Amino acid sequence: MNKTEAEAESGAIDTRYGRLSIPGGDDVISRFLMRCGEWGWDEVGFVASALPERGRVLDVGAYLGTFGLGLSIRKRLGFLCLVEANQQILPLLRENVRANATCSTAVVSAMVSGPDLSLRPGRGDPKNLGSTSFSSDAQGEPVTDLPENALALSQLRTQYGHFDLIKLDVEGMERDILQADRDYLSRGEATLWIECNESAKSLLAAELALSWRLAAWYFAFPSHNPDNFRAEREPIYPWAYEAGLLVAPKIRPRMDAELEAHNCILRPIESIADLREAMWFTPRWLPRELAHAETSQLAATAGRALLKQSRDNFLSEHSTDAALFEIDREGEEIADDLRDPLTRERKRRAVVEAGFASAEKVALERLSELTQERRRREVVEAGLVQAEKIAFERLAQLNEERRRREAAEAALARAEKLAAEAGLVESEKLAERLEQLSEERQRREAAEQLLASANAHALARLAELGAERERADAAERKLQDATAQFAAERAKRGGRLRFQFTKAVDKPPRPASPPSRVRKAVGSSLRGLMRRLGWTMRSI
Amino acid sequence: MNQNDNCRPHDEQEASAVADHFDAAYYLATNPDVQTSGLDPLRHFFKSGWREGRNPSADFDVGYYLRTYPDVVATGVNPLLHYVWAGKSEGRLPKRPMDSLRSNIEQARHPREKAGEWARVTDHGPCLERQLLTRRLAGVLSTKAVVVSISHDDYHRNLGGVQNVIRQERAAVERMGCAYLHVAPVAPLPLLAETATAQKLHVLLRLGSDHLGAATMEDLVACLETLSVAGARLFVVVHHLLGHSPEALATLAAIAAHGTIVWIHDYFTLCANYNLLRNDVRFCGAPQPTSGACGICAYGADRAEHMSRIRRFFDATRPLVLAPSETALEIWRTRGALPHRDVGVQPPARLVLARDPLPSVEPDRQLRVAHLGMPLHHKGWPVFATLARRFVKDPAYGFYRLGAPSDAQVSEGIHVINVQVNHDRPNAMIEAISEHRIDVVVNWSPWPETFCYTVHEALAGGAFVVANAGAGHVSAALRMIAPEQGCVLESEAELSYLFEERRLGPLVRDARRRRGVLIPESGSTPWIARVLDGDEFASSAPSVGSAAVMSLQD
Repeated sequence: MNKTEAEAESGAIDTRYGRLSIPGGDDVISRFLMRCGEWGWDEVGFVASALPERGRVLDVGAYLGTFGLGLSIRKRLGFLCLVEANQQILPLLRENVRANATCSTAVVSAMVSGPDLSLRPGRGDPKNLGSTSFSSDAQGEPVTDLPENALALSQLRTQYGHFDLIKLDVEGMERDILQADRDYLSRGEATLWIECNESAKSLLAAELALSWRLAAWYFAFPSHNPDNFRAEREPIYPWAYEAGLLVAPKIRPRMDAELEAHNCILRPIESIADLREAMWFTPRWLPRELAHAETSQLAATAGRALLKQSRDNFLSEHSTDAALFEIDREGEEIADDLRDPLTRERKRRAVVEAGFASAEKVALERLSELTQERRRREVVEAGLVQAEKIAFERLAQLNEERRRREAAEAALARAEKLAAEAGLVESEKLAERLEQLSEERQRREAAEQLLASANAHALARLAELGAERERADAAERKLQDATAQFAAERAKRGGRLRFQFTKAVDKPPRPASPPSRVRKAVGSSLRGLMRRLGWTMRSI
Repeated sequence: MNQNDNCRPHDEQEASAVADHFDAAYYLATNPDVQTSGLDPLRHFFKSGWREGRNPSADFDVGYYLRTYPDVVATGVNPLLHYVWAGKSEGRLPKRPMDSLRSNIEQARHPREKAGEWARVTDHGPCLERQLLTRRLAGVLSTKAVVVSISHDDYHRNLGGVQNVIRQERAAVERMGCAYLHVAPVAPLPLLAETATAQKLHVLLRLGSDHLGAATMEDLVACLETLSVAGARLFVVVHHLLGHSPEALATLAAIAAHGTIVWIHDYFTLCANYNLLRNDVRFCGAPQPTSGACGICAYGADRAEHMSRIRRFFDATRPLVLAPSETALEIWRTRGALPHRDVGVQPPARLVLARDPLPSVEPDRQLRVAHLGMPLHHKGWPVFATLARRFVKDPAYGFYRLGAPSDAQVSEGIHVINVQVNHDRPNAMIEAISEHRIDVVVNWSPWPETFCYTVHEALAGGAFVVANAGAGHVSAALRMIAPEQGCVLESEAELSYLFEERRLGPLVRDARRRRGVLIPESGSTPWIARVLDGDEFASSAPSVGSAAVMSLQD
């Protein structure tokens, strides 16, 4: 028995997050924690990159707390609320948070649900407690007791305030939960990170989020991090990816060099067709013998699987010309399907049209409010697009100029070194090099001046944009004031009648007159002055 | 008269009498329960607030007024109303003189007391064993050299000037084909680590961008020694000693055959109060540790030992000392320089301004005056806040604070603009200055800053800078880079005069203001490159140092 297994038996192990209590046994996440010392480290790395400093995070389906605690390591958090329904896991979660949290936290024992808040036991695979589902249509045997409580997202918000990020890992209940809080979530004030299992329910949840016209990104990552905490090389499940949908991030998400190196996947999602395609191209499982296969081997295996070929009878007697013809034909069809832009466009359009129809239905329900909201957002989005364009242009210029400057500086350093080495014998060469040096310096200065001008130009446009925005805000405020004035005027007319009526019926007691207060204040001052002068009332 | 009659403003007369002295935004910010209740703040103050000791603004202290003037207590009159109607004309004081400075002094504590309150750190996991650590570091043998960088926290997760320099340095070092190993204490401390636990000190290691985990200093030194014997070329660059043990670092520096560089990002080598602010208030000038000034300072008690431990480290390593500005180097040299091999100047960034000036501010437009950064004493916030409170009703000026959100109370009239500068958006402050058309930035640092990013950002954003002559590199940079885009004042009286007499407007309108770009530099890299090319630290440093200053002047 090695050290980790011995620790696991005692119920707590050292991990990337600190010392974690785990259920042990065959539980999948416990196995990852024991072998690799972490779970979903790339996931928190990605989500952290899209989260502002001191963000407030709600982790629904927190399980052992690896997501929330991991996020607090990657980014400084303002507040972390962890919600878990599984009564078996809750004591472990509480202990993990108590021992390792580095920010203000709250652990809530509850099942977060949609409109149906009735309590029901969790069902699922006893060997994978992390996938326990409390959905009303969950399959499998009951693996947990009834949850202590059932809450909606809005109740959590009322109790703990606004959240910058809401993570939902609730095994199929995502759409119901989003639907129940759609009035708030559709405004995009909170960023959502929704788990994408390979099921139709994931598409339903995504469809709802996309109907709100919020920006969305699909991110998938291998469950085995090659740079894991325990430097474990062998994956538990080869090429098994986990995935999620990031909705309405405040910072545009990106993959850093580390995530790129780990073969993570990031795609913008504009329609369900996009998401389905992204999920199709996400690996979910491979046999163990292909765990370390090279790209050519993977491509060969994938191609043959698409053509329904079997390794058992490959190139056997049954492999005739007819079979080869069949292979060619099917291969062409698949390729056509993949290549044909018209087909793909039609499919995409059909999905987009369905989305529009659904959005239109919602919009009709609350038309006036939505129209105003949308106009305001469009103005802001237009501003943002313009600002982003300026920023990208300037960034490109900056990079180009920086490259030129660095090249010039490198040449300058080389020239300086050469100049220093040159002796009297090579005085001519030295003079030439000094001239080159001077030219290089001039070129660098010219490049820097260009860069400064480009930046100044971009900033000037930013200032114009700021001025425009202020003018627009002022106009909006004026409009609001006028509306308020109108409302006040109307109320005043009604109020005047009411006031006259009240006056006739009941006369309120008159408050003490202000001059008496003045007198009191002045009196105290006079008394102070008299004391200083040594006078008393009697002496006067 | 009924007691309740004193509890609310009876009419417009009372309300208007205190209107100029009541700061509703301040009242709501300092009393969240009133905000939650939805009550009118002025009404709440009259009804019960003043009896509960709640202050109507930052300029009036109810508790102080009632304690100092018992005759006012006897009348039962609302103290603010009393002050407005009578107390002011009688020369009574609305609050304790120099209250903000006194509060700072009262709160100043020995760093050892503060250490207990610093964040508990639990995310580092168990320490790496020596063999595993050596295996993880073995890859550095295939690089040209290893730069071991020391600082007070994990630069990858925190933001600030020192962290910026380290980030830039790492990128440049890796471009040269070298490895960059960063070492920070696991437990952040506002002072040096204990001598007794020097070798057992736990440190966090980051190789390039990869977090390796925690290790003891003893194991780290042993591993690096093994790698050095195997042929790795080591450089040690000390960016900050906070939380470290200089004794342990000396053993590390001893195996770095190519020398040690120590940065003077602030004055921590002279005192644990790295801003040299006596009791966190006034610049002390780093007197002798036995002086009377140190005797009355919260940081004075252990200063002699602090300096002696750092001196032994400098004695043992004889480092090349790098400062971010000539001003910082000059102060460090004159206030107690330590043994060193040579010195140099390397600014963290260079400002290049475009040639074309901005159009002049329209004569009738309100001047937008801003404080950049956090509302902290050592950033000059109290002076700005006082200025803003005094002139907030003057239509000629609008007051702004640009920076990360803060818990500090902000008064009515100061517009707060949330600006988060981070490695994804290093130019966020410059852009915000332009976007919100800030005309003037007031920087009133009470200590001689070593290098001030915000002044460079203000100039790059096209703002006119008003600075304090005692602010070290702030005023020096202004004089050197853009003398026509700012002014340096000798006292707060001059600053008030500028606003009161409306002299600021013409000054800003006549100034030749330009926008530009802040170009990041590469930390210690030029010195390391020269050593790798066969030169020694000592021979190369002065010429490059002067070049850096010259380029800044350009």
